[in-house]
Amino acid sequence: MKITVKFFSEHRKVIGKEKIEMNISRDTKISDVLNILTEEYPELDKLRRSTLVSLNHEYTEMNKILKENDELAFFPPVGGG
Amino acid sequence: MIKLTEENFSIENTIEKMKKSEDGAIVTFLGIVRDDNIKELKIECYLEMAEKELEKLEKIARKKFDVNDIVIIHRYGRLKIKDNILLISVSSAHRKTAFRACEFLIDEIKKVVPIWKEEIR
Repeated sequence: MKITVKFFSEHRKVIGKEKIEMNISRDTKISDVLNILTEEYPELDKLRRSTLVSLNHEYTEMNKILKENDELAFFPPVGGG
Repeated sequence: MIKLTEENFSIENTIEKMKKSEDGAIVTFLGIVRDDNIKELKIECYLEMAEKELEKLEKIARKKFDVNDIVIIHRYGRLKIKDNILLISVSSAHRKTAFRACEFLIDEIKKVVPIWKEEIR
């Protein structure tokens, strides 16, 4: 299954890209994707505690199971205004 | 009305456009770039999601408070000291309702809308 993962703010700096496309197997959870990414980008681990995640533009939880063409995003706490 | 934009906005025009005969008050919050010994403020935004979150907040505020209209304009991109960042404008028959709704909106925007500020020194 193909999914898109976007990164913002500190997370984008660690990854060095705005987004990546990943191929994942069925029943993959968001936390599994974060683990795979952390292996490749160990700096992500430092941000883990403050990492927020959205799925298809809605806040969600790390234990959610992903579907084909989902758009995930990882980012630190927000602070507009 | 919700707008995320790189462009500046006119507070006066926005207020003029929203005025209706049933309004007794329009309360406006303007967030601007403060000089914390910075050169610029970089504002990053997850556009699609920020739009959704702002729309949700507008709906909640309309349910919670007896307001006539709500305008929220948030800028992103690179801004200079004193540049406008955010405009929240709320119209209502009565001032207290407009003040409360405006405060609710700015507090919630800071908590949930996916926008990040980076100080460039």
